[in-house]
Amino acid sequence: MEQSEKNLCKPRHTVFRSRFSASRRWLWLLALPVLWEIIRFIIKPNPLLMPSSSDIFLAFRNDTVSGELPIRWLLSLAVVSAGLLFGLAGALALVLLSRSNKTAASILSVFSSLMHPLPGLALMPLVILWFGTGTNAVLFIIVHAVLWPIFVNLESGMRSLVPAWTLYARNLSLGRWKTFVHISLPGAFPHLISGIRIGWARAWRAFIAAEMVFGAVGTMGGLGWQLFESRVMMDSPALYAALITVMLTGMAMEDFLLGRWETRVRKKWGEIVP
Amino acid sequence: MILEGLTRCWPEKPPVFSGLNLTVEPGSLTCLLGPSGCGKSTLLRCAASLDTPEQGRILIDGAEVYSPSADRQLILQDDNQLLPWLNVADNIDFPRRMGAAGSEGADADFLLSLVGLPNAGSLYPVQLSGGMRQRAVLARALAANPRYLLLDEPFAALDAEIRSRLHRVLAEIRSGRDLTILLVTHDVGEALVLADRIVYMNAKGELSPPEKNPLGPERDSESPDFFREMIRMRRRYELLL
Repeated sequence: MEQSEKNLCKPRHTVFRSRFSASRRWLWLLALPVLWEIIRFIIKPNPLLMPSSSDIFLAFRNDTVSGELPIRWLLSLAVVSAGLLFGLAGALALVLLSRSNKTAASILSVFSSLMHPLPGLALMPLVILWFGTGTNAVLFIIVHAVLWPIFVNLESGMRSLVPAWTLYARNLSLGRWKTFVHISLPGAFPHLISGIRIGWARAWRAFIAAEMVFGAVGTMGGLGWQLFESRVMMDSPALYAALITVMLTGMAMEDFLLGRWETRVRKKWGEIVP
Repeated sequence: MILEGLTRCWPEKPPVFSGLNLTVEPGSLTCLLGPSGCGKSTLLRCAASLDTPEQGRILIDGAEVYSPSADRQLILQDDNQLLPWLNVADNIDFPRRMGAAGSEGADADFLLSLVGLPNAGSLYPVQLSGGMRQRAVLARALAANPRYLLLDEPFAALDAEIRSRLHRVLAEIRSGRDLTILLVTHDVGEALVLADRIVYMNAKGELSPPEKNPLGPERDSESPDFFREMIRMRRRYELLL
């Protein structure tokens, strides 16, 4: 007798995945306006402090239709991506240096321990002296936010490579460069993606904060500048619309791009059971 | 290959082995039988020049060798030897792409057929079973066209059926190739099935003189002779433990 699909065994991880899938997380967001209105109904706040969800939605729609919000959003993404690329290139160069020389490795280990926990904004007075305000200062803060988590993760990945791979590289008499490019770097790739994920989140936060301190990036400014402008103009609905855009972008990057990418790579590397 | 007077020590511990001598006949399959932790794997790594003994030397064709070479391929028991970011065909092609000596004419499809994985080239290591992975590792080692295969309990983690299939694969690979194999195992049956010569290593890291496999070249693993020899060898092996 043919077994009905209902009676077939379903692996646990499939159940887990379907229950907590990214799309289901996003459905919960629909409940937030309701919760928002319940809170407003209970505490009856000044509309300037807590505008209605319909006003926020209208501000969001108007700023989107006028093109202001999408352009600021794209500009923000472009600047953060540029900072991410510079940070990634810098981290790769530092890891290569650290792998090729023990003294350099020791110095970089100390330096990364000092710099990794240092918030970018703490460097603000120095950055203003070095670069003034504007795009270069913001880019510097983003690169600082990205560089160290990627470096630390990549270093940790290279230290925890599967011994059989490095032994194989030695067995083939591969030189240092070939071992780095063809074994160590791809072997540590899951750690590199973890570093990029952490770096991206830090860069996004740093960008918003830096723009509010250092001023608009480009002629129009990004989302950080929109937050700043909305506060100055006391345009609370536009301020909330910009805040929501910042949060949703962070969540979307995690759920649909970086998080998925990392899971896929870790499965392929055998670190997660497929 | 001659291993002459090898001594290997770890700090603050008695030597793993001391003044060890072993001659591996060209074209033979020599099985090194010994209990866990006696130094078999260390000896194999020294033979591959992937570990440096404190004393002694390794001679190949009468010349002393110091550094590893693709000519001596080491295969481990490790389930994670293939590079997971490459598919099986690219893994096998890896020595050629890296310019390893002897790998110029490597043909991944041919090698995959040889180890019984003709359609697995496009799969990634994570999609393979343990037995398939070991076969792919064997194919990858052969891609470097080595003269020596140094096998460190490569079939130990596999079930009996897959292990006996891999024994047949290894026998097929040997036929028609000038391949010298040093196989480390603690499975007496495996030694009887595969080896031309058997060497015992005791817990102190001392080697017995090499013995010819009492079963000769034609071996039937289901014959009474096989079982008789296996019992005899197992008794001897237990004395080592």
